Amino acid sequence: MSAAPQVTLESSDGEKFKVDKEVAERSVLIKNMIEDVGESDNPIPLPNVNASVLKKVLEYCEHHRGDPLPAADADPSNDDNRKRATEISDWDQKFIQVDQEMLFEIILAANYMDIKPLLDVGCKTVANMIKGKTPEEIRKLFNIVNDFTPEEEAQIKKENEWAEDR
Amino acid sequence: MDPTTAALQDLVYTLCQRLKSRDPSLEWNDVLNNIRKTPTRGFSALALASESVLQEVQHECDEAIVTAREHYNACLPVNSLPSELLAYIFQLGLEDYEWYTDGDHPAVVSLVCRQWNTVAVNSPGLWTRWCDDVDGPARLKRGRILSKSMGLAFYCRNIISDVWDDVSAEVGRWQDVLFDFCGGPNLWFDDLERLGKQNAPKLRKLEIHTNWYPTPHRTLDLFDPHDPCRLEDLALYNVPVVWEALNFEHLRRLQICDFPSMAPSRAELLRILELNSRLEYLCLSDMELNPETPELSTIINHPVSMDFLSYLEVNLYGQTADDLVPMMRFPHCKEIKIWKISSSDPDSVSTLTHLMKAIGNSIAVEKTRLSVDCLDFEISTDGGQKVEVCIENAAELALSEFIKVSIDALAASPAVTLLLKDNFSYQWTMHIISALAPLQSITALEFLAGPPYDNGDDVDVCNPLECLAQVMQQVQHAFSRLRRIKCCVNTVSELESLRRVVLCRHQAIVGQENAVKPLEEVDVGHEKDWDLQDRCDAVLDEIKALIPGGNLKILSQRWGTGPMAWNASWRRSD
Repeated sequence: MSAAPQVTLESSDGEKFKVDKEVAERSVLIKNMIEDVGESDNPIPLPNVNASVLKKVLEYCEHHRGDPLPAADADPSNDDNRKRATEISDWDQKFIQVDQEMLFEIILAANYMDIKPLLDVGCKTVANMIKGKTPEEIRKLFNIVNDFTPEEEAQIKKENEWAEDR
Repeated sequence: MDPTTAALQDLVYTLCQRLKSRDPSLEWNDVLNNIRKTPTRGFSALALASESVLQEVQHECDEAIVTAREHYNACLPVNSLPSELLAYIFQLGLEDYEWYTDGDHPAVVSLVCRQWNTVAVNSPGLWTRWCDDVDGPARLKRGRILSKSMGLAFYCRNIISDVWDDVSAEVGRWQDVLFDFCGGPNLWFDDLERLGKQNAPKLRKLEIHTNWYPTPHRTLDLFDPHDPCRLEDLALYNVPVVWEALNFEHLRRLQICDFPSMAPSRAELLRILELNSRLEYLCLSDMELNPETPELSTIINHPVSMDFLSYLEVNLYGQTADDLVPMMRFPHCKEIKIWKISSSDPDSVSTLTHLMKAIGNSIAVEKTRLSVDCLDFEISTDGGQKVEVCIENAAELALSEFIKVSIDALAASPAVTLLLKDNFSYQWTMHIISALAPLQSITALEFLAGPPYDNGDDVDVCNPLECLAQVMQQVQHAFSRLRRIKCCVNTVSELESLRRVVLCRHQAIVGQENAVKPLEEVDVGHEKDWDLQDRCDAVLDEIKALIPGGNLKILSQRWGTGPMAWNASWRRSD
């Protein structure tokens, strides 16, 4: 049996990763590059992704190598599509349990490499972190400082005033 | 120069040097001379100048701090995300939106920091949900602007004029609308009719709840059949609509629940189903159907095909309720819940037969779950790999119908578990076990009967294990692929029946070679107070020896609060 075709990816810090083409092609960016350039032994450069992040991204792609690819024109209002966007599987939840810096780097890498399911996992994780929290709790969570002037803050609160009888 | 004068001179000099950068014309000598001439006015002028400078400096410092904080925030990992991703995350926060608890979501993210505020106010999707109980008029007005041209979702509980003005002004953007207990009779009917008929081209989901009886003869004439409405989801709770107007090409989900006098008749319902033939979800809940009108009942006298229906829930009563389901055809339905079958005739054969046929058909459909609640009858299939038939307190008539219509489908299934959660008459138990015995697809039998029913030294009349033992003795190759038995044993006679079952299987294997498969597992549950092992150790050993690998599991349970508790705890132990 012949071995699965492989491609080499090169991270921004010069580390090379040899992976199955099927795994690499979970990234639409890489898939398109391979289609444009054709089969080549040259490594595919990923100047926006460092080695530690690329390793995580490839771990995700490897685990999901057999999954059906999301349709480019998937209707987000469709129940099934919406369900996929809001739910995070057990494996994905464990996978995404990383420090904040790595979490946002994974999101950026997924966005750059065009891996929609991974982007959804990352963004949904952040959305869940925010959900139900007050602005102050969110600031504390992400180390954000309040950079509004008191006047600006008062204005925003006034604009978003709730109904009085609530 | 005396020390006081020298100190004053130093002070004025120093202050003026600092102020000079803002007022180059300021000369310290002049200021000092003014002070000497008219000290009050001179000092007052100096203080005033100092204060204005201080305010300016304070303002500059504040701005510098804000800028520094803004720069600091921009360097944080979370803010390294481009605006469109941050906006996407905010939008995801609305996915599982709850009107009341999450009503403040856009405001919360707006108040975190300047960058988030900028992203939030430039994300129209964040401002498309309104709730009149939660959102004040100012917020609604802001929402109208920030949501730009996007479709709107809103939840109206109290139609009050200033909110209603905003809501109705955007009728062209209505997309997902819920009116809940709005006002009193007729207060908003006119408005709603006018708006509904005025075209709400983006309306996809409409839900109306009321809790009052309307003025007699007043119906909500909300829909115009010629309206190019693309309504996909409609839920009406106690709303007297013009039923014949419910005709939507794109309708996928329909829920109706109405007061008796306002409910449709069976024929009207069938007409609705016929007109909206692409329904995927249908819930007719807790509703007494109105008497039939002679005109309609003669028109609708043929079965209605619902080829796209995947969920059906029916909880109806009234004289014609039983005749509704048999007039429906739903060959691809994946989940069917029937809550009542006939209040007038509990043994109504027509509905039962139809339902049982549906159950039989459903076995072939992937991932089906079907429950007939009043019969405690449930059948579920998982991707066609496994079928579980769970029976509890079932009407024996229904079960006989089930066996009759579904035997072929069960035989064709890859693996069937038959689960009896209750004891039935000896006659019926023998009937079902005999009927299923030839099926090679039965891989598991579970008899989770209720409390002990030891009947002295007599044979238990409805002990399913005894029936199983008798059938296995009589029928060649009975349950030939049976791998697992799970049962309650709380009497000596039950244990004896189990011993005979295991012995029969053992003898069949010896005699039939590969035609009969050996048991892989026998699970025995017994009441905690009845010490099975002490009293029947020898029999248990014998049973164990007859099971290849000796895979006999014994689970002791306190009976507690009845069979449901028993079953639940047993389920948990799996």
